[in-house]
Amino acid sequence: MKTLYKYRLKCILGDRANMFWTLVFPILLGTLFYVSFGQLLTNIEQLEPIPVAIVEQQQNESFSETLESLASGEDAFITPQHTNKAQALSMLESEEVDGIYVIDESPSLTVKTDGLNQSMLKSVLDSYLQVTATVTTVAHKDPALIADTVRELTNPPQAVEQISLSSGSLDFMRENFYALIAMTCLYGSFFGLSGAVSAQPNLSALGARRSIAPTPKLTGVWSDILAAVTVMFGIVLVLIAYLSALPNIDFGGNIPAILLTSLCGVFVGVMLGMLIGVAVRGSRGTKDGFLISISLLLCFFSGLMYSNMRFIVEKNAPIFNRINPASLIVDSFYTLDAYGAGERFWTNIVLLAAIGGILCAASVAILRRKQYASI
Amino acid sequence: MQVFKCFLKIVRQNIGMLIMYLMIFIILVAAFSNFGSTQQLESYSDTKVNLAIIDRDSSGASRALTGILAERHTLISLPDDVQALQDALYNRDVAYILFIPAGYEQTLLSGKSPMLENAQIPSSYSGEYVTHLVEGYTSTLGVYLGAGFSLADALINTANDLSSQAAVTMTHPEGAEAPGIYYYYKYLSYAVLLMIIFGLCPVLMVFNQKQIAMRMNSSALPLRSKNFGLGLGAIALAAICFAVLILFGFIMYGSDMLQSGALICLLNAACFLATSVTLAFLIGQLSKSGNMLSALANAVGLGLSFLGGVFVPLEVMGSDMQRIAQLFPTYWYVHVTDLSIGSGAASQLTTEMAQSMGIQLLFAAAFLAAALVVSRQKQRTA
Repeated sequence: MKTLYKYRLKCILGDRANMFWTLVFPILLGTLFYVSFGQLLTNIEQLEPIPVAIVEQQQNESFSETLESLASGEDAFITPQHTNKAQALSMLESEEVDGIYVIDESPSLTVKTDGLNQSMLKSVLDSYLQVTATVTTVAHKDPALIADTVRELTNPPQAVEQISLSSGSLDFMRENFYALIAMTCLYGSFFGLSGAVSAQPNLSALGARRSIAPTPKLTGVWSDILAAVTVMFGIVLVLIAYLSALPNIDFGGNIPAILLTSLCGVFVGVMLGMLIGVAVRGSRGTKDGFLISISLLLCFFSGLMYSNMRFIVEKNAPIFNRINPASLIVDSFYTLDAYGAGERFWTNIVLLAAIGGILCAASVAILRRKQYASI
Repeated sequence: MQVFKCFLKIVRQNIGMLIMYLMIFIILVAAFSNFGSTQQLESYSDTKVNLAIIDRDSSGASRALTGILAERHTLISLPDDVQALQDALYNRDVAYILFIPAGYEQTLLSGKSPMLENAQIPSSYSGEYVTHLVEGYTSTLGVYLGAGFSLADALINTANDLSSQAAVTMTHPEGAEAPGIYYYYKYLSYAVLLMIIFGLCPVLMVFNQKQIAMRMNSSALPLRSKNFGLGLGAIALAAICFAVLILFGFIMYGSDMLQSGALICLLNAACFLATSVTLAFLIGQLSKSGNMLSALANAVGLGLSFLGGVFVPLEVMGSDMQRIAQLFPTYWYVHVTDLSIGSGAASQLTTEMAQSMGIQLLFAAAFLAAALVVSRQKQRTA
């Protein structure tokens, strides 16, 4: 078995086409993911002051003061530019500023289109109007309270404290990288398929040669599986190491759990290929096509092409997420980061192992019954 | 014509790949022209934030706060369960979760300022935006209660005050939403490139096989008519692929395809078609086997599409990446698409657009030159 294992390893490592798809392609895709939206991991959703033009048509001390307080300090909310109306409009047109505050007896806002920044600018103006309204109402009741009211409303004490629900990252972009790892695991099926082909006498000369050798069939098949899992496990680890070397991506510190997830994922991948290799009738091309369609479909539902997919499935057909190995792998990585190796993580691992076991049992059952009178 | 006929025969053998990429394209466009538009913001009125409120107080004050937030934003109901909340936040079902603690109203009535909790997407504007409203509500209600109003009056006054909204003038009221046809033209580049590569390259690989090349070179067929046949075949292939893709556009978007912006895009796509054909010609010269071809084609197709801004908008990339992106023809293709039918587009042919199309044609010339160099070298070694 040792010799068989060794030579199978050599076969796999020498298979340049499959090595490209399992090793080079995921790394390439990961790099592309990273350079194109790696910035999203850090940049977007971060607070930057909103550029705004200010046109003063009439004195309005209280509103001017409000704007000044918003523009000062380290966490300034706006970067104001005082200018005239025509200049302001041309700045708005060229999107140098997101809005124009016209200071008047009743201040107003001009924007180009709608958007979050524009809404933020409007909310400043809204709260100015709201404070004015409140002060007026309170003044009706007791004019002595005006000063207190203004102070309290313009500098409200912090009323909302931000908490985090878990230790995990909320970087949704990670979903893509998790899905990429799941894809790589499932691409292990290419080696499973080539193992299955080389074990069947009617499909390859090697299969015929192996079937008349005195080595028991099961020994050969097991060494194929073992070699494929070894290589794929190595490949997935290389990919994970590569991804975690990129800034802003990390997979948490629980290395044994990461290894276990990868191993289970790879095992399922290899066994999927094996089963398709023995169960699907037809030429090598048919099997290849079938295999690629299945693995890409599973990856699609785990969020490789559209990151929200896994959640859409979770809402509409949660059972599918429990039997789709790609989703299980993605969820394991996410769970590991967010909640640690808890119940949900172990459920995923057990399900993955069970799927691998079922695929394995089915392949072996089909393979061992095959006999050939003549080829 | 023999060469031309043979060309078509080989293309027919590989028609499966072409159909596959056509299907991928159709799925991409159908999916993203829907997803894309929902992610864009609605016509003015404030941006609505998806938020969840976990009300552990269930008092008049907390219900009034919920009511005000529901008026301005979109409320999503979620169970009070940490994993469900974390998952919803992670997948952006909600951008903000507000926890109203038990005793919120009591604290307000006792004249103290109560502390609420929230969980949100890290340091996001949408989060700040909601917090601002919540703090405004809490402080206004506090002021009314402090001024001696009854709880009922205070709640009514607060709701009234918070409903005063500023008037906003919009200079471009038509909105910033990119139409579905925008996504169609963006993804068209990926489909064109891959279909041309998988149509043209297998043919070139057959003709480049050493034995076949030698056999043809020693035949009575002049080199010129062989090249003519190949050229004609390439043009026919490009025309057919392009026609099918554009036909699909007309089926989906009808008369929108004839608007001035869309016509600029059509011209732009024709420029990119030229770039694709010459690039495919180069790849065909470089590939030695079917495996190598599919590896190269996918690497080049995905690489150009990701880095040029086809799959991911350029704005989300860093400024360095945006500069590097200019080294790819896809960047210039997307640039014209953005300018002509993207958000706030000009829909007139400007010099900038014409220049960008010119740059694509320069890329085409460069690929052609490179391919000719490679093919000349191959002939020498053959």
